[in-house]
Amino acid sequence: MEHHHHAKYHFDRDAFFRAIILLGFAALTIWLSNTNQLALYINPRFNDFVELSSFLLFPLGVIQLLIVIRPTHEHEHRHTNRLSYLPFLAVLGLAFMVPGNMLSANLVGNKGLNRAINVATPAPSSVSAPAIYRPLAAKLHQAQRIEVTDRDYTEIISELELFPTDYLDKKITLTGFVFRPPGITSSQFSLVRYVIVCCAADARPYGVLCELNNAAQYPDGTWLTISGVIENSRYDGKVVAAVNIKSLKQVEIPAAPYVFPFSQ
Amino acid sequence: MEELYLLMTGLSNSVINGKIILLSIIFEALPFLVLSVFVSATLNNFVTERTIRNILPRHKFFNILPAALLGLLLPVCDCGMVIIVRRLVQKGVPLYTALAFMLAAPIVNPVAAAATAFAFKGSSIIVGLRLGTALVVAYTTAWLVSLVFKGSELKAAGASTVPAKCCGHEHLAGSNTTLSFSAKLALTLRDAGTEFIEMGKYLLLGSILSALAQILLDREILTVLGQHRFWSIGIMMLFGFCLSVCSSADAFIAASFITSFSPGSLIAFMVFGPMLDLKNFLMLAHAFRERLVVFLTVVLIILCFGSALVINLFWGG
Repeated sequence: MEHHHHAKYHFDRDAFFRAIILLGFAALTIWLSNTNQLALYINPRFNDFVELSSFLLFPLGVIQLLIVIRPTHEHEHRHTNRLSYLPFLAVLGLAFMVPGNMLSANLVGNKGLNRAINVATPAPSSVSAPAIYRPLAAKLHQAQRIEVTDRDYTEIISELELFPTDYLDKKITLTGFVFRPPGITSSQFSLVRYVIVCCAADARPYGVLCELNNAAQYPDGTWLTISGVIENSRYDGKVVAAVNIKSLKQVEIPAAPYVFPFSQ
Repeated sequence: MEELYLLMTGLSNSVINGKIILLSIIFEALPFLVLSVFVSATLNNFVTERTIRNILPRHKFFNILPAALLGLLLPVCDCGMVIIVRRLVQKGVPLYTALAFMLAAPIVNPVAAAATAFAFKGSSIIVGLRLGTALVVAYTTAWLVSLVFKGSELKAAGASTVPAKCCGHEHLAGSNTTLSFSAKLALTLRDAGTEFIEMGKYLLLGSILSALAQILLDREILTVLGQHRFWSIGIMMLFGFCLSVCSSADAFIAASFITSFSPGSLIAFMVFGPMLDLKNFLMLAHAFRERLVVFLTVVLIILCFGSALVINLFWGG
């Protein structure tokens, strides 16, 4: 322990680690933002917040860097346990090393397909069910051909799921990835998108059943743009809408693979 | 050979999914964490304890209720909450007041209410039940804390609370009226960075555990107990604790369970989750004494479970 006020300098290991971590997180967010990869993780409506926080992290890191080497005149040097930096370094390592990608199809099984859709009221017995909000119903009933876009994806899939008989024989075009829920036949798969409210941790898979003779040649996770006609089929003991595929095209994973219902 | 290949692709898919979920939780929390350490460091260097004491109402009731309703004006997320609460308590705000704010604000606020209404397709009953339950649980918990704990219950000095022991500039940490503005600003930036690391590691640890839980947990396992009047509540509370999604998104998750879970358990999920989840719990345990953390956890479990049970009885779940 140094007590003297001689021009004696010491290297503050903790300040050094803090500077590396703060600047590392600032660099990570700026990099992901500049390469448009943030959309793989969070709803774009939060992008500004994340970018703002990276600009705030930068001066914090610089200040820590400035006190890495400074005159020694403290009585005590309490060192933080080296292990406590491990979570930060692990996350930074993971973020920079493991390639950027979208959530893969095998997570759909964990989360359950179209689970969010059957919503009316939790206790149908006690109150009369309130009218379900159907913003697109009138427009869709008119249309001969339904073009599904990211903007109206959740509403259209909900309509098909809840009112399958309303849309019989209409033509439909949509894009998504292949997933096979349990209990479907060899000539069926579901075409699915992940729908995200805040971040990938709350992703819920939404999809529609498809009929195709050579369905088996498209493995789970293949991205397709399909056109077809809406028919009624049975799945899990109830009537569901199914798209009888007339034409399809295999496509690349879109730059924005998720559907963000509130950002458009 | 093919099985090995499938196993390897499955494994690498899981690693990538885990990475995405982990980073998404972190990026979602990052702005709130940064904001919180800035607010905390600013409070530390620019606001004196006397100022805070003068602002606060004297009477306990008028202390707790406004604190619990503050979220209506400041729609905050629970991510950086513990950081703010610790600093407020350090600055002399009564423990129960700070806790009332911490528990209620992430739920009783316009953003969470709107998200809940949207997720449940305009069911005002669910919105009312969620916000009402949160307010009752937060108020009761804060009141019980005020009866049991008289002190601050803060743990002994953390890295950002180094007391005046040194002979350099170190002892000037804390609001000091003699310092120039730029010196205070420099200290604020330093404190913010230090606290970011100190508290951030618990947030990261919590996020890592949450991401693991999401990868490993198959919701089919959950739904087995979904309709049970008693067990469904416990399962959903545990699920909310592990999941660590933000309070404006969890309603959508809850809505996705609506056909398979009792209504009380969904309310318990949407009330208990934002009040206490893995990352908050780790940060709380770092900032406050064990006896307070244990008391808080037990009281919250009992109150959330009890309210959910009442809801199930009335709603025939």
